[in-house]
Amino acid sequence: MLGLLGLSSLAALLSLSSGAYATTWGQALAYLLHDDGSHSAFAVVALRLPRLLCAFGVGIALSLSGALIQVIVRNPLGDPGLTGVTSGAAFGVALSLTLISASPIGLLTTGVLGGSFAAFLTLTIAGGPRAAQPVHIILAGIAVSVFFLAATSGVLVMSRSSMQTLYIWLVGGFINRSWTEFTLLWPVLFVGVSAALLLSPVLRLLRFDDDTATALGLRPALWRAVAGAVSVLLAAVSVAVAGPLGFVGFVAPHLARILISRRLAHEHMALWLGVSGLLGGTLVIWADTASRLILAGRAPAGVLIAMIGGLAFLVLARKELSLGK
Amino acid sequence: MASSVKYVLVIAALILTTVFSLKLGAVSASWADVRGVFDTDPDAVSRAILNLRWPRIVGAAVVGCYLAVAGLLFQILLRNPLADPTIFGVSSGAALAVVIAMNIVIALGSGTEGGASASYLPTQLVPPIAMGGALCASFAVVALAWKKGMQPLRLLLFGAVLAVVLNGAVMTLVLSLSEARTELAILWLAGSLYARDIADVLPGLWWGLGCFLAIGFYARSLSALRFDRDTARAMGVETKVAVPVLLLAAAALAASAVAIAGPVGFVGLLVPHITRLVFGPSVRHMLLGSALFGALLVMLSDLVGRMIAPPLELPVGIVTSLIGAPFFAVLIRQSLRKVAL
Repeated sequence: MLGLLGLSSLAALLSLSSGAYATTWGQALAYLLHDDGSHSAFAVVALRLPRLLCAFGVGIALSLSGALIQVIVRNPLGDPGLTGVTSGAAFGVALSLTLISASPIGLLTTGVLGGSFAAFLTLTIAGGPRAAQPVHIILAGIAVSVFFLAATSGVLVMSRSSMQTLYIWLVGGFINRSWTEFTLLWPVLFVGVSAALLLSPVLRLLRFDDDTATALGLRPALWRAVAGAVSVLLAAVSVAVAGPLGFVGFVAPHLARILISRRLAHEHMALWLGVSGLLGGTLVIWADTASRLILAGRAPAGVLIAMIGGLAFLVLARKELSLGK
Repeated sequence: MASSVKYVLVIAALILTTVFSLKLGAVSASWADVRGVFDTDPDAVSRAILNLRWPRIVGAAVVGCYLAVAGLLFQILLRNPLADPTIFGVSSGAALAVVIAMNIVIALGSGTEGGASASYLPTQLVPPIAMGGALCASFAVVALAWKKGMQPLRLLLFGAVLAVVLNGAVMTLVLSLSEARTELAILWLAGSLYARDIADVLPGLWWGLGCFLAIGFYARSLSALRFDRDTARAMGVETKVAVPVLLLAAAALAASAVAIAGPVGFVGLLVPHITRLVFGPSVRHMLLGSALFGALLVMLSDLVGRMIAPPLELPVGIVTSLIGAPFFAVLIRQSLRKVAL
């Protein structure tokens, strides 16, 4: 736990101090406390800090969203990207940006609507939330996701955006994210995280099959819908801020499970959710920092996240599928 | 309806699409200009059409034909109705190999006379390099999905994720290649026929011809391979030879298509199913029909992509994804009842 906090603060320091106006770690921290009006201070406070906070928040939102999906559909492969939710949300947000309005509330609403619709489609294709097997849901999700990403590019091209914009949109990242995005992110994140933590006793019971859950005095369908709504909300806000980032929602809860042991993750749902969130936030900060350092800011963080996350998925999913059978 | 009539209808549709592809676009040409293409000494507008639109049309036809036949082969040989070279990551493997080769050539060239601008990968070398990448990716997917035999749905899942990973690698490399190569990134990620030159299409033609000869030679075996391997062997097919040769041909076709247009999704998935509906299950008709329908689908998709918001265009791969993804969903729904995990 301490190590995790250490890792995230190390990433934060690195992220604040590196860039076109390089500063030492100490300087970067000093600028946070006292803005002396220099270019470096501006870079740290006005450019890097909001970007860092956005990355951290999006990481938390995505990993909690993924963790909730994994519990609701009892599917260890759950991820907002792989189930089509983020692509549906991206389509909603793109539609809203080009046709309706760019107001934060508008973006969020259309994002949630798009994400929910995509989730509904995925479940319908896979044959209902309970009948479906892990691989079926993900395959259905991939179909839904490809469709909505293609539709998103269609909307963007028709609204005369350049190909450059289109790519940054489809891949996701934190280039030029500012306080505007952060003010959209944090209230929703606060609501979503609190809701997820409050739901954790219920989530624990949802892991059992529905008959057991009912016998324990729970209405599984209702609570599954509530948890699903929270998950979609978190995914939608992260899309509105950063675009459709893949695999974070799969990888972070899995790493958390490995870190605190499978048994503890089962028994203390809130602990698992908390560790997943922190891990997700840390991973996304690292990815964003690395994309700035290695790719010199030319490629958005989403590229690195998709590559590393995809590799992690291949390894973990292989293990998970052989455990299940 | 006799199958010869169906062939005539498909070919008529192809010719019609070709004519409209020549006429329509960001600048719509008059019919006289389109006719002028066939003159011995075409005027300026006709020449422009000939130089800009004609290569695209040929490229679309070739890409569609190759991808559809590759998809058909994968579907039969892997006995998986959901197989498609692009969903499987095979196309992304080909793209990655080409982009790596481009990077190496540029790295080598930057030290010599003429600098990086003089060091482009010779177009003749692109198809074989793409093929190497396609083969590596095919092996990787099969190895990942292998668990006491081939698992059809796992193959799809791991293939799809591998495609994402490889696309990420392609994107990183393309963007590190130079500052303003976004068009290139689109070509290698979404599949596009934008600004294709006839010189980009030609090298792929020879490879395709070789593949089609091999497929024609083994067409009878392919017909038997629709059943499981033991049955095919009992029917007198040398599976040890026929299967690898046909798989190689499929990978080569997919790779040649990638060398021309980048990964264009869902053509290999969609077309064999349409062909089966129209021409029935005979392998000979499936091969011919897939080639024709594949060409038609990609030509139409490219035309739609060009017409949707001129002068901007939607990459052809995105148009085919829009058509193909819902169809993919329907197939998944069907396979739930048939294929166990």
